[in-house]
Amino acid sequence: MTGVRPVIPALAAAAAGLPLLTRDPYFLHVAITAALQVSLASSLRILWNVGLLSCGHAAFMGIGAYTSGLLATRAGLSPWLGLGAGAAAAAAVSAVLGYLSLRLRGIYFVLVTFAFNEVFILLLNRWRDLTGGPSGLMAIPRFEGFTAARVPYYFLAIVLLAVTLGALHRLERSRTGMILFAIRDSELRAACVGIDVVRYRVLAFALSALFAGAWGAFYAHYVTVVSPTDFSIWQSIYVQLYMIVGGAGTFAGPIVGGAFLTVALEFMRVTGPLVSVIYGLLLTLVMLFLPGGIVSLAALARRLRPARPAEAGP
Amino acid sequence: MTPLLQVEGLTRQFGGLTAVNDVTLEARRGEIVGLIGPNGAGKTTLFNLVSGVLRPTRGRVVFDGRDITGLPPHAVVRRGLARSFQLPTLFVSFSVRDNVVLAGAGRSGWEVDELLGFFGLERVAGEPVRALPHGYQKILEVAMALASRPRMVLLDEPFCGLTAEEIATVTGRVRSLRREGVTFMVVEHNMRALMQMVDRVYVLNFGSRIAEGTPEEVARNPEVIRAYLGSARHAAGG
Repeated sequence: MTGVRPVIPALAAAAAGLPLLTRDPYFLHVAITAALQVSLASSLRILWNVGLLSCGHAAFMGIGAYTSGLLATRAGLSPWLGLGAGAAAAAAVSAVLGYLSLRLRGIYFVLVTFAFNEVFILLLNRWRDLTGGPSGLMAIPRFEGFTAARVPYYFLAIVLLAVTLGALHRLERSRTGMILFAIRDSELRAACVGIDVVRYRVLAFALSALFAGAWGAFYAHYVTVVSPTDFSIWQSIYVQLYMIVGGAGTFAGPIVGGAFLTVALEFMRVTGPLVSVIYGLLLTLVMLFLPGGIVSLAALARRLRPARPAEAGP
Repeated sequence: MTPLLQVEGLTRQFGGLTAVNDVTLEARRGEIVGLIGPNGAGKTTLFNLVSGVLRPTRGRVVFDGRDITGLPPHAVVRRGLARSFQLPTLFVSFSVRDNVVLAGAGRSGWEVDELLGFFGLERVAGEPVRALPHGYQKILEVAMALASRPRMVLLDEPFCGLTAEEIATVTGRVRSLRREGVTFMVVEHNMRALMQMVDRVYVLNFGSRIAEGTPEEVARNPEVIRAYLGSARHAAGG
């Protein structure tokens, strides 16, 4: 905890300053993508905290994107309200799916979410009248007052990121957050001290989907065209990787993982087809040698640093 | 007055094995009841059935006049029937203090510090439970079962692995809570410690109830002696 407080203003200052350094749309796009992936990975961690892994996070992002996109194109709803509508739709669907499936544990729940993501993509591809099919939902309006210029989108993404991380941090420190960790520690004991385990699991699932849905809506009104491939199982797996490679055991882990891997992936594109190979190697190395994720490097460095003898008091 | 806990014809089968076979027993208000029997007699399974961890194949569990058969564990605890576990089952990423908070202290039950003090845990309150010596873990296990101020507690081998001094601590606490009206049912292999604490004992063997009575009566019961000696010979034979 002690190291975190000075880091936050520094990060905020760096984030605010980036457009002063470069207005290159490409760099700003990478930064916006990083904010999105960090938020997805951090929200997936709510589930991890209760001892669950989902292979369907991208589907909930997709539900948010299509809900807000359709409401804007068909019903003329403001994209600003769409953020809330997308979040609510994703949370509602996940609550139903969770209620039906969260009596299952471990790999079975993973498989349910995997299947859900696949079914969702199938539905998007087949229900052409509503979704536009494989070519996607087009001409989604931007947020009122926004143009194709990247700088305002960049600042909006930073604000949404701050809200997301702030809310997730509060949740983790709350009594509910504590109960989620307790269920992961011992489901049996949790139930035997009066905690309704299934209810809290459904809640965790719905909260994680809520953030994915809101960011899906943001994404729809940013790129203005969404198609089924944006929300495929691969995107779900990438989000898992960001969380785990960054270090799912800490709040900072998915933030570091999401930011580092998104940016690294972009810069590795110069290597052409080798990018997947390098990416895969990097992930394998981290998982083999840093099971606590990239953030565990900090703890490692602290341990390796020679102890300062003058550290005892004033 | 009706007994606080009534177990009627409780049966649980796992495939072809009948772990608990048509067991009927009761605990009256303010009583400390022992539950003994050789290994594999079905004592822990019975606790799992009563606390909602397992569903019975047949039979009924009635607590305070209400049928609680088949209710999930959290609903059973909320009605005032709590349990502890034979192996410490703690929230390992939390401190001792947070474990009792999560167990319900500070909200509906005990004041957190009062409960920690009552069990002599105040000195280790800030320690992470995974670093705790076994004896403290077992005592915390019992404290957690009591945190929500239940009317009845099932204690599963509370003395296992404790020193004589720690056993005396736990026994003293159980007795003083009984005076406040809390009812206990205790599974324990340490016969001497158990018999000094309980009012009445039930004996299970191969899933069935074979005896009931005061500690003295049960100790003289030929069928009980046979069950224990039988299992001892069995163990010696390999």
